[in-house]
Amino acid sequence: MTTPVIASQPSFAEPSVIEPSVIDEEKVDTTVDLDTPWIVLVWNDPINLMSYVTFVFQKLFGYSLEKATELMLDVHEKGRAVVSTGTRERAEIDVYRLHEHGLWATMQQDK
Amino acid sequence: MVRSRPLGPITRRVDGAFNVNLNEDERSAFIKFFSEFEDLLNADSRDDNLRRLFPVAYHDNLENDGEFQRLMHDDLVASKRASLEISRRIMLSTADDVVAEADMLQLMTTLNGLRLVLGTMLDVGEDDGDIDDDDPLAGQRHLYEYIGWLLEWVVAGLHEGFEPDEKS
Repeated sequence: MTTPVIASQPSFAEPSVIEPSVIDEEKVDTTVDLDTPWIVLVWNDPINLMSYVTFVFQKLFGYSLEKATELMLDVHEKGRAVVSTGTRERAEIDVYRLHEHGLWATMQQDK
Repeated sequence: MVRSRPLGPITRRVDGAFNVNLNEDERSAFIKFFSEFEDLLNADSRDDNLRRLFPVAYHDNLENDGEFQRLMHDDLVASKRASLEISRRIMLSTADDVVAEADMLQLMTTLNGLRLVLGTMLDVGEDDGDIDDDDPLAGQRHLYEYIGWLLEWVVAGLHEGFEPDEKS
């Protein structure tokens, strides 16, 4: 039987890059301010290609190549970038679409 | 004798569609990789090696994230399966067959997903150097690079003639 090429590898240690993670819920202010907009963040990941990330920003948000490249470089160099702002519903849709494209996106209120 | 590739692996046609210029061996290899990818998804979509495909959405609120995942996770799995199926059909076609832009976008997300899974298994980092052929995982690392090479061509082809509905 042929050994699967991608399925046979052991699990390795966590990568040492800036990553979003769920923090202790007790420390979180869960009050929802309806007037405060939500922001969608994309986090750096060592795997996604820079050209791919740029193209996804253009395709999903209609950004120019210049704007999309600027955001991609912010993600790459600063660890994250805000790629969209709006209502909670809009932000959830954007996060879902970014996850569909394999980007590490999270959302939070812009406090 | 191996026939040399006259063009890049992905070419955009004047009508906006695409040709995929991969040989039979390359197509067969990708069909196999897609099948393995689907097996992983079907076995356990919450497997740690797939974590990059299903990230947290609310990084500062466990409760909200749980609700988001409860509502969206299955849709996301279904979306990835649909992309895999289209990607498989592309690889089952021939170099003369035309691939629509919408299908090429699905191939793009599948290749990126495959790369995310393989990169997670290989613990790829920002500063990884050249591949050491004595590394027991050298074969997988070359495969990771090969998928990235094809993905670059797909993105370049999609970029060609792409006109965003400019927002800023």
